[in-house]
Parts: sequence; C-alpha cells; structure tokens
Amino acid sequence: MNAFAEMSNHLPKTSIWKHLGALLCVTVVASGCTGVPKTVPSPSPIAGKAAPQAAPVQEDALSVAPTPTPSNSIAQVGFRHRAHVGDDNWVGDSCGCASGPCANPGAACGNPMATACAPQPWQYDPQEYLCDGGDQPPSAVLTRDDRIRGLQPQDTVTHYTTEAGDIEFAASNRVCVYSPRFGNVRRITGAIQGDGAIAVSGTSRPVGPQGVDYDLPGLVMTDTVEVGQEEFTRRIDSMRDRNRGVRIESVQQPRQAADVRTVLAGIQNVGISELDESLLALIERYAVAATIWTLDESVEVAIEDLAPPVLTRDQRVDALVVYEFPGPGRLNLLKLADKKHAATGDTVTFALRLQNVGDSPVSGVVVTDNLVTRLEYVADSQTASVDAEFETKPNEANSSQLIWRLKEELAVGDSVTIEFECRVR
Amino acid sequence: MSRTSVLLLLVISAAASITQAADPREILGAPGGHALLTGDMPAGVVAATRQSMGYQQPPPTYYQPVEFHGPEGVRFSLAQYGSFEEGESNLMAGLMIGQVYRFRVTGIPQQAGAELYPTIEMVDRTYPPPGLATSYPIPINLDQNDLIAALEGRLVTRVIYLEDPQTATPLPEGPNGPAAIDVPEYQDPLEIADLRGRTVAILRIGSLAPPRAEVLQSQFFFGHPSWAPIFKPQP
Repeated sequence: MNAFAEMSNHLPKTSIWKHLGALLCVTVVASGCTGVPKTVPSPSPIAGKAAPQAAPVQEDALSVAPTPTPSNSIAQVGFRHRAHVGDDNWVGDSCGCASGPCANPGAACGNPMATACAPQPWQYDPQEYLCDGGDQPPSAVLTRDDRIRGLQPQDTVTHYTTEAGDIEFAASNRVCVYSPRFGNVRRITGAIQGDGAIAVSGTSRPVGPQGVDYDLPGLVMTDTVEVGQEEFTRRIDSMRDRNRGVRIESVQQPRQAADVRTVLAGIQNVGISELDESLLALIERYAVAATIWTLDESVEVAIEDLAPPVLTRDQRVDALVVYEFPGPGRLNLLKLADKKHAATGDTVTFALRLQNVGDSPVSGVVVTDNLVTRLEYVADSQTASVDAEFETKPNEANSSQLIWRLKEELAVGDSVTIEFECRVR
Repeated sequence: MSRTSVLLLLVISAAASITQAADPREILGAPGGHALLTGDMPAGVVAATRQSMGYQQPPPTYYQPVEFHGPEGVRFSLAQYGSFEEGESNLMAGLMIGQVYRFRVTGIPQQAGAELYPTIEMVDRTYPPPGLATSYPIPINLDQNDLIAALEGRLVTRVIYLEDPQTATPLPEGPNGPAAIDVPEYQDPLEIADLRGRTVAILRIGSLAPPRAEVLQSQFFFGHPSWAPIFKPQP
C-alpha cells in the first residue's frame, strides 16, 4: 500500500481512481496467473528451425551428465531472442524429470537423492550449425518473366513442368554442418588522466532483480575518476513524426436503425390482431408506400403458332472407351554433405540427387541452390550426371546462386546427380 | 452542479492530461531496451548474474575449451594458484562457465619485457557434437592494436559472441580468427554482440599488474578458479 499512497500524492484526484482500477486489474491478472500449473516449455526452444540432430548428445570427455536444477524462467535482458538450449528443458518441480527429453518412467522421481533421473539438458544450438537446403517461407514461386520469387538464402529448390503444363516446385531437405563461427565486438575505452585510465561515466547501471554486486573486484581501475561531463547522443527516433489517430471519413455510423425497428413493431402488432387506432397512421403510411412501389406493368408474353420440338430417347450405349491419364510427374530432391563438421576455410562437397518419382515425365527442370552467406562456391567445381546448363550469379546474401537447367526431360524413375564444392567462410 | 465546479473539473482534467503526456522517446523506447547488463560492468558481473538467474551449469563442471590467438611471438599462460608458467603461443585450455580467469601475455612485438594481465570472463558455452569439443574451441583473439592500447593505459573490451549463421557476415575469416567490430565509447559492446549472436565470453585487456600484497592476490585472480589443460598432439 505504500506504493499506492506514494502514487496518490503525485497524481490528481481524477486519475487516482483510474490508477486504482488499473492496479486492481493487475492484481486480478496476477492472481489468475498463479493458478496456472507450471508447464514444461517446448522441448526445443528452437523448434522453428529444423533440428540438425535430434538424438541426445552423449557425454564426451569434458561433459558429464548433469543433475536437474530448478530453472528460473525469467528471460535475461541482454540475452533476448536467443535460444538457451538445455536450460529451458528443466522442469521446476521437485521431480525434475516429469517430461521432456529427460522423461524416464523407471526413474525414481520424488527421491531427491536419485541421480537416475538426471536429464540430458543440452542437445545442440542451431546457431552453431551451418545449414543449407529446404525452402524457407515464403515459398518459392515462379513469375511470368521466369524468375523465382521467395528464394531465401540457403534455399534449394527445383521447379519443373509437368505434362499438363503445370509448373511445380519441390524443395530439398536441409543439410547441416557443425561449424560455429565467433565474432568480436571491441571497444577501446580511452580517457587517460595522469597515468591512469578513467572509467566510462554517465552510463546507467540499473540494479537487476537479483541485485548486481558492484563490490566485485574490478579490472584495471580501482581508483576511478568520474568524468564530469555526460555525453548524450540523441537518436533519430526522438525526431520521428508521430501520426496517430483514425481519419474521420473511415468511421461509419449506422443509419435508419430507428425506422427498421418501427416496422418490426408494427408487423408484430398486426400479427396478433390487435389493431387499434394508434396504428392506423402507420398502416396508412406503409400502404401509401406500397402503392408507390407497385408496378402496374407486367410481362406480356405472346405465343405464336409454333410446334414444340420432339425429343426422341431411343439412344443406347454402343461402346465404352476408358481414357487413363497418368498422374503428373513429381521430383524428389535430396541434398547431402560429405562432412558432419567443418572448420572455417574447409571445403565441403554437396551432392544433389534429383529423381522423378511421379507417373509421367517432366520437362524444363531447373535446380536452384541459393547459398548462405558463409558458403562460398568453389569455381568450376560442379559436375552433373546429365547434360545441363550451369549458371552462377551473386545473390542477396553476398554469396552465389547456383542454377542448373536440364536440357532434356526427365523420364519416370530417372535421376540426376549434381555435385559441387563450397568453402566455409 | 455550479459553473465554478465544472470549470474546476475541467482545469483538473486538463492538468491531469498534461502530467500524463509522456515524452515521445518514452513511448517509442530505446532500440536496445533496458539493458540490465552492460559491457562496462566489472569483470564477472555479467557471468555471475547470468548464473544466478537460472542459467548456471548443473554439476559436474563443464570445461569449455578456448584457444588464445595473438600476434606472432605472443605467448599466453593461465594463472595457476597465483603464478604463471612460461606460456604458449596458441594456448588451449578448458575454462569453467561463470568464472573469470586472469592470464598473462608476454612476448609482445616491439615491447620487450612488457607483460599484460588480461581477464577472460566465461559467459556461455558451446554445444558441440560428441568428441568435437576441443576441435572447435572458442577463439580468444588479441591483435596488435589491443596490446598497444592496453600498454598505453587504455581498457580494451572484446565481447566474443557466437555468430548467427543467418546473419553472418559473408567475409572470409582471417588466420587469427574474425576481425573485430570496433564500436565507439558510447556504445555498449555487449548490446552490439547480443544483436549479432550469442555472447560467450568477454575479454578485458587493461594495464593492471599483479599486486605485491598477499591479501590482494585472491581478488586479482578472481578466487583462483580451476581450469583444465588441453594438450595438443605432438606433430
């Protein structure tokens, strides 16, 4: 209540009730949330992305099976939008292995000393994998000028023309290579006074929910001198024009609602035969209206002396011809990499296998591989098992877009193998 | 209701609306949000706060392999109970997450006898497939500019992050790892790194020398956290 009393001192009386209402609403919402049972977050916080490996990681020489620890689900500010792999899989109850990848029906849940229900919290981080292939939304489509729209970097698609003339798209699978790359952000803090460096001043250091202990040992400066003047940079956001509100012509008001209700009321009275003098005026009014809306003219039809046509139904089936149209051709595109992991500078060979798994041949087959930023096509490294026209052009990810145009049509069951090499940047 | 009371109400409501009108900057908000953790915090705060907020490693300890890179001739050695060994040029070691390590840099080109004692703060780890942990260590890069700036008394903060492959720069990586993105003093390197990927470590290079007093040793070495040596196969 102290907070409320303090707030009420600063606010005008008219807004006190508004704030009190808001406070009550917040209280109601908060108490409602406490009743919600704890649910386990999705097993993989990166479910939107394709999993490179779903199998749990075995312990290597350096990591050993961890024990479950209750996790605080508060997202850390400064680590937003990031998948914290593993931590989110923890269950906050006393059992610790109720569901998720650690679910083990045979584990002795409830026994705090049981280490058998230790989960395998860490699987993988998709950011450490370099993936290529698939068709990320929006899906790729072909425009009239024979260009592909919706082709994201890392997409690998093929489009072909069926016998019916339809242009169809097929996407490959995603292939992922473990190749983490690290970046550095460097800041050199400058000011020197005397012989010592001066710490940055004027930077807000808010205290978080857990409290930040500033008494921890510092790095360079134990005796810091505060810079007196604060540098303030005004961002462009503060000058942004704010156009709020709704234009008045887009507001539509209901019209003639009163008249409609009056009509309905009158009809109901007529229905139960309780006409009285007060309704006479209404009846007369709508009678006049009915008169006005009545059309005197009617359609006049003149029938001349014409004999009706005679329909003779004496036909019978002479023969039955069944036309069998085969299903359209369908391509299956498979992508493979020759390495599971690649360091920066390594060369990875990718293979594309294209097969017609449909019922009829397809023509105009074009395979397009849009490489991600970190894959660089090794010049003249591509080979195709059939005669194909190869083209490479830069894409929007500053990498290459590789295009193969097959010169011949692909019969049912036929397959094409394309290989090319990429260097990991 | 009298006319004066109506007027009074109008005045009160107008005053209330004026007091409630917020600065446009407050509505639009800063692009970075409210940064709870910043890059200029003392060494250990970012990792410790993160550990205390539920991202800590369950026991037993995982030692994250790191590899130190520097200019030609520079040697690195990690502190072992307050003393340093001779050092290696491309030192590899397994460091605990959430700890701050003090290491020594010697053999700086054209700075005979100069020594630097930077710190590395381990914020997060990587999740390699089994058996690949030491093949893909976190690179800790120091270039000549860092060392010169630190010897001049300035503080170099390098935030090392795992790059998001979707938004990675399409430039090839140099032999000594990625080139650093330099940010000015008024920008927060942690915020910039967080926009580009997942922060894993923070390197701070200053010009502090080890204290002579025995009492200050523990503070200087951040409580002597343990680390795992990684021996490379002999060629």
